[in-house]
Amino acid sequence: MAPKKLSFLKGAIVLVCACCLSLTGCYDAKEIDQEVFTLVIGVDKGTGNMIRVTFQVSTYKEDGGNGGGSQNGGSAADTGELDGTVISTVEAPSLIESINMLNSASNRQISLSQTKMIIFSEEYAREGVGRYIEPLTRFREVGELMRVLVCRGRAEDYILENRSFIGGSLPKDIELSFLQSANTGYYPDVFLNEFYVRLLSPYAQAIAIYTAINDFDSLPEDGMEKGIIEPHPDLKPGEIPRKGGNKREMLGTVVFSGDKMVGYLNQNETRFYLLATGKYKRGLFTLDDPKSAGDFIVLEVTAHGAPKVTTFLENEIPYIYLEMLLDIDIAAIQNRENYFLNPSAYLELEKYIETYFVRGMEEVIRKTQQEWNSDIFEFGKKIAGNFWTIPQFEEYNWLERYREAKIDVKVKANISRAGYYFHPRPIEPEK
Amino acid sequence: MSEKKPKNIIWQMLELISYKKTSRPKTFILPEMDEQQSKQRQESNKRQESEQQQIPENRQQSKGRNQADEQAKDTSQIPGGQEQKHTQAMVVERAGQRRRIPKKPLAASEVKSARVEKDQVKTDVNSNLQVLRQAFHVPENKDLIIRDIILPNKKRGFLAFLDGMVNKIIINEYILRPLLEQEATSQSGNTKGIALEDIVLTNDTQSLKNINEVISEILKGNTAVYVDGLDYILICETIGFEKRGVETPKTEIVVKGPQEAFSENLRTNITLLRRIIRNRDLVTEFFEIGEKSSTVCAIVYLQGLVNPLVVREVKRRLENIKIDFVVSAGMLEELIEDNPYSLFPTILNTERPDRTAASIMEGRVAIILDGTPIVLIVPVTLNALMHSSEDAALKWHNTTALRMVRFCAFAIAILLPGFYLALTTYHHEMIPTELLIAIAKAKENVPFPTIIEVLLMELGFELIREAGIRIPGIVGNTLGIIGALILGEAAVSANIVSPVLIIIVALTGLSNFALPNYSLAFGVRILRFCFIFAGAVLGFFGLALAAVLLTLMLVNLKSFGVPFMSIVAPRTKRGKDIVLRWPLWMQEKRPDFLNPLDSQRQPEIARQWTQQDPE
Repeated sequence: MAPKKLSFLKGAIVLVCACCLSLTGCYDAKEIDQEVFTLVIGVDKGTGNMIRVTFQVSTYKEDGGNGGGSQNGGSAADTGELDGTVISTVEAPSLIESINMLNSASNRQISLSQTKMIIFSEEYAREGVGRYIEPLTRFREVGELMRVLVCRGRAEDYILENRSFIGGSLPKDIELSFLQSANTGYYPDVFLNEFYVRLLSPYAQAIAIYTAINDFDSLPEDGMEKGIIEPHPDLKPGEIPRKGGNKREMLGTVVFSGDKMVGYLNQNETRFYLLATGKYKRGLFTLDDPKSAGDFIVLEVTAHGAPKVTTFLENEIPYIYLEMLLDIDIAAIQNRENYFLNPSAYLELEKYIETYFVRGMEEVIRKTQQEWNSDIFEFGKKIAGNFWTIPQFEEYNWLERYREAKIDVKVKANISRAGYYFHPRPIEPEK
Repeated sequence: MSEKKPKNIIWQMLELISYKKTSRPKTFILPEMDEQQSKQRQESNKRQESEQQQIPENRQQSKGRNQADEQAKDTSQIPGGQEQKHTQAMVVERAGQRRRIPKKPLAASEVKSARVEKDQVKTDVNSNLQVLRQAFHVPENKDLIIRDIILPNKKRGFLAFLDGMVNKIIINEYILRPLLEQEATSQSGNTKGIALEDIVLTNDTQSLKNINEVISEILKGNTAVYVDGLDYILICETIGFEKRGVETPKTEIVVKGPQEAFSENLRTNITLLRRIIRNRDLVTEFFEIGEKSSTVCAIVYLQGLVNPLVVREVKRRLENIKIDFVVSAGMLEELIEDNPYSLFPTILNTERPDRTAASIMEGRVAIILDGTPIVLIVPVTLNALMHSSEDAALKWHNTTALRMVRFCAFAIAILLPGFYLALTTYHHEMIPTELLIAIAKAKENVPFPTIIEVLLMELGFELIREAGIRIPGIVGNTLGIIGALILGEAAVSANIVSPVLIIIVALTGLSNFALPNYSLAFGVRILRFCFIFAGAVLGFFGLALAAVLLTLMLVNLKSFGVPFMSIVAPRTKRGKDIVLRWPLWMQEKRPDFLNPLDSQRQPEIARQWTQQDPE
């Protein structure tokens, strides 16, 4: 065949391919400003069988981050405008339907690709969240960065207080607030995909971040009765005694069984829980001083790697051994005694610390076993290793039998540093 | 072809895709050599050299006539690089293919003799004068000066030269005066015995019997001297035209390092090179290119170091250019490069003698065209195009860091606008939320889709660049900067483009300027638009496709037989000054992919003093 005809053929093929490709491509093309990006989704119980979904979407106005309330006057609840975002609430039979409904009012397509968190009201979470989470995860655009929270009270009210106090950027504020989990350990960091996998899995139960609005009424006024100092108060979110600043706060872990909320761990229990799962790497712990009542010892605790979990089954009863090594730095000893100069006291202190952590973890494990029968520690993953096939494991029904497991916790504390002062001088007592 | 049954379209398509069938001519590929082979070649090269020295000089005269045969021999030798295998029969056959068959068959010897007679210098003044006058269109052409002389022995003669091309002092003092004052000597001694070349006092003379060669010498600026009765014309070197001196480089400016640049004069340029490489093996060969302009072109290489196959290939290409005239290195580049459709240059342009010398010392060939201050260097790879003249002058850490920056610039200049476009039209989830909202805010009042914005800004930027070059002097530079600032600022405030895009376009433009090679930067400018299109149409998938296509094109490129992507594909020995620059004393080997005859640049230990005890 003549080369001219061939080259024409070649050109035609290339052209057809290019057309096909560009048609498929351009069909999906979407400009950034054609969409609005939802930052927060809140889910409440609606009337009857409906759900009330609240969306917080960012606006593209230049002077969006003006720090307080709406621009058009009136409260955020009236106008829906808050710190460069717009909050809208829709009542719909399902989550997806609510997006559709909102689309018809928001003028631009709602995108979930940048959503930072989804918040369920506690009331709703106790009834079960599964059937609303499920369709959400089928959306490809729903990022893995979405966190799952359960809030005390209504999610709608919570979102109305969701504003940025430090800088002008709300998304940054939200993202960084989750990273505080690694610093304090007072609440876990739970991603939607992890939450969803746990909902489906036969070896673990889901958890979520516990959150609430603090109305600033927990801070005791002057002149109220003075009690003894309690180093580990049992607090729910919204009860931190504080005033000013951001109203929303996260504290503790919500425990699910199946897709229903069954209980929560407070902030101290959450730390033990995170330590036991290897998610808490480093933080400060305040212990009662065994030698002088009323004084505290402040420790900086570093988990030496993830805890080691070994399991075996005997007569279908699961035995679980959890071992962990903690590096301890002494941050402060209020009675200023130098444990390092006295070897026996030093060993005693190590023992005391070990007991403290073992007791703490055992208490959390007891709670999850006895009160909720919910394996949030993912022990099931290790137990599954004792079965040859997945059907065998599923037949064993681990989630139901978690209650029966004999769990032994072993902690080795290793005091490595005395803090920055090696030989602190005692403070002269008042004469 | 016609005997076979015609195949169906799909089959032909398959053949086309699978490279079974290619419409491209045979490409020259530099064969790989191991050390033993390179030694053998080195020896055979030496042998050839000594043989050549024994051949008398008059071989040059017959060159023109035998050119066809030599070409044929060369072409038959090159493709495989295995000249020994080709038999004489093949040579003849190939030569036969190339020669044009005249309509009326003539015996080859007859054709030759007829041509020789016509071109022969006549033995009387008048006929020779007439031939020259005819050749130069005198009297219409006023440039040819013919000075009639009558020698003391009453013989007539003439001098012929081109006005303006010659040094008149030389003609007056060293040609005319000795010729006319010859009387004194002639009276005392025997006049007849003294040859013409012994009378004139110029440093170089040639006796030519072919009138065409005489004409070409006159065109170069030499003077032809003829005395009645001789059967040759004496050519005296009198070149002396106005020329630009050696100046500082204009486009390849360095802070440290020599500040000399090539000029338009071929001789000066070669001298500049010789001053750097004082080596008797530095060979300069001349060619004439352009059938109407007869532009002189030189190739310079280091005999015994450069791979002779590369030299032969360069010569083959230069000798086989049939064009009316060539005026710039760019034109020549286009005529000899491997793939004229490639966006990337496969020949390095430089105006710096030091860089050319360094390339020659690595085993490359420099091609210098008379009348252009740019020297072409072959073969080159992509890495060589990323080198700058200052690389050798700086400390190696700095150079290495700078080369990294240049590779980043290369990637940015090609990809950034396409990448931005793909992100903002297809992959919103990949942009951090804060940035996404910022981009959306900036774009809120812009009515155009991003692709239009990008194209507008890119076009504006290209306009500024082009206008900046055209507008003369300082105004041009100022316009470039001011234009970019004002255009960008105004476009943003008029809500035609978003401010993020100004950053993208400015960054891309800067990266493009950071590329050290002018031709490469041009290629990248065009490629950028391909990537913009790919990103706009198919997002990251399109970018990936375009990148694959680009890679395919690049690995397919060759520069005088050397793969353009050498050291990556194909993998060759890694040198110490190819991608990164290591300290000079570590650079023991020359680039492997050039296959030089002598790959050792310096001994294993270059700093011998480190092995000694301090005194």
